[in-house]
Amino acid sequence: MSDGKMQVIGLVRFSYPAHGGFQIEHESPQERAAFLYDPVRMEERFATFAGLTLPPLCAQTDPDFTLAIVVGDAMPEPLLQRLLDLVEDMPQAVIIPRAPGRHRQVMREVINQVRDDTSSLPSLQFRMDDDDAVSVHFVERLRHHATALAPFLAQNRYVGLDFNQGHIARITPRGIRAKPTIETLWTPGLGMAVAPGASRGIMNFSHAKLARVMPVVTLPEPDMFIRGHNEFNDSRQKDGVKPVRLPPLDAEGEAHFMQHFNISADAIRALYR
Amino acid sequence: MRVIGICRFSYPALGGFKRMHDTVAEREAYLYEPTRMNLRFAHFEALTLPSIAAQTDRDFTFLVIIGQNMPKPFLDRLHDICAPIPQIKIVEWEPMKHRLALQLAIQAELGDPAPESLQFRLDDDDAVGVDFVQQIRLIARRSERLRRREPRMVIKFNTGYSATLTKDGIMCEEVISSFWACGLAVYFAAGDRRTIMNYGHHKLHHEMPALVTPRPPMYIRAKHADNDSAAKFIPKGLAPMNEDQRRVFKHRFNVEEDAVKALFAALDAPRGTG
Repeated sequence: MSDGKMQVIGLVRFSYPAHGGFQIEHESPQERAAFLYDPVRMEERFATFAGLTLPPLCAQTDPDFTLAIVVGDAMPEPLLQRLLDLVEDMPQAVIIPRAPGRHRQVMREVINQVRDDTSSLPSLQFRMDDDDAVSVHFVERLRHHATALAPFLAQNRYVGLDFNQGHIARITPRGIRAKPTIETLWTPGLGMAVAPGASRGIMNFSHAKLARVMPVVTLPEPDMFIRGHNEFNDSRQKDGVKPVRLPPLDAEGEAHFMQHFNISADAIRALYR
Repeated sequence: MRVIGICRFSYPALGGFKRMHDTVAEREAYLYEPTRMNLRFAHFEALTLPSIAAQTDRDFTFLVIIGQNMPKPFLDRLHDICAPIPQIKIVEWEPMKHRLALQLAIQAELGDPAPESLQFRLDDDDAVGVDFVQQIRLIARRSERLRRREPRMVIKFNTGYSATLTKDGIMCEEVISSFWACGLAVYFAAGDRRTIMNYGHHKLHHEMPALVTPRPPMYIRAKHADNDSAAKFIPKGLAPMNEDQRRVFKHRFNVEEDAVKALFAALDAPRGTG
């Protein structure tokens, strides 16, 4: 960008069948694809993506960002069409089909594909899963803090920018169940300033261990992310992980979600009808 | 910008210790017991003092908070070993809850209205990197605009060492700790009445922005029998230091293994004050 602003790039994997990068093991790409595109699973992913992930991205108070949505190149046509329809009115969204590959390698290529290489400023990268959400102020706040930290960013190739306050949520036919949480280095609230020309990006580091390899600035602003919890949550599939108890949002809570995330409990209930 | 470090040296606080005592006199008797005091002094002289003495940015104040009844030989010894370091102020404080005492001591040192400050804590058996004061100032300056709306901020160096000191030398282990009190400073704007002692170090990042950085290693935390949290310590993983670590301890902390050996050998020998 030649206008003096840092470029903001969001990266969402929408059921992309990578090698590695998942915590559930599958025998073959076919097996993984069968798991990923299973109709029941797909219905839930689309519901959370349409009900939780997209609404706040569509309503960003700073609309100047790119959203790279990575899908598998074997995604069945009707599913791909459905995804395209969902982001039709979102000028920031780019759907990027990729053959199954090594997760970190593919994500690095995807980010470099959308990154503006003419800029002398860091790019600001964030990642989410297809059942996460960020605040409607996320891009604005990320760019704001990064700009305020420009002298510090200039001294470091990579700097994590970690919003540590948000909610855990689950959507159901009855609406939203959620509770507030404070978590260090959870992916939906995590951004990274990457120096121009640096070869790695937000997907090339293990998020939980980020502060071992680069400076991380933790930003305790409330309501910055939603971590979706559902039946298919990858990192919660291991044995012995208990489901988190989430109370249903009351009217006030629903209004709060509408205000900070542009997420409508009514729209979610309608998704299931 | 003022930089203030605070360290309690066998201060008989009300509460705040894992080992409880009914009266101040009982606590003082426990604290000033010669074997314990000699161990504290050995760590203080081996770790804390050299790292404070060698700060590359000399513009800071280091408060050493003590009780009002420290036996004269120990008091003299403390003044003697601190005398060569002009940044150290030994402050006698009446018995209070330890957080309150340290908070008031910091406020008294800052004056009213308080100027902007960077504050840090150090235990009397910890060391801090010799460029700690310089680095926190630098980072505070480079992040100035981040604090326009939120005036307080944590600066934390999360890598360092655990170490056990004996007459045979130093056993150590590299450690990563995001929210220990060591290697950590908090920025306060001018006029702010709060101090680093108003916050639990584990929760600081819930209340204010925190800049956590893994390089360079910035603290040494001693593990020994008299550690207040000894019950929680499992000293596994410690190994005799190698040549690289010996260099790091010398250059980054001004801590020398030979000096450690001498201090701890003397500890085992009978001595006049003990």
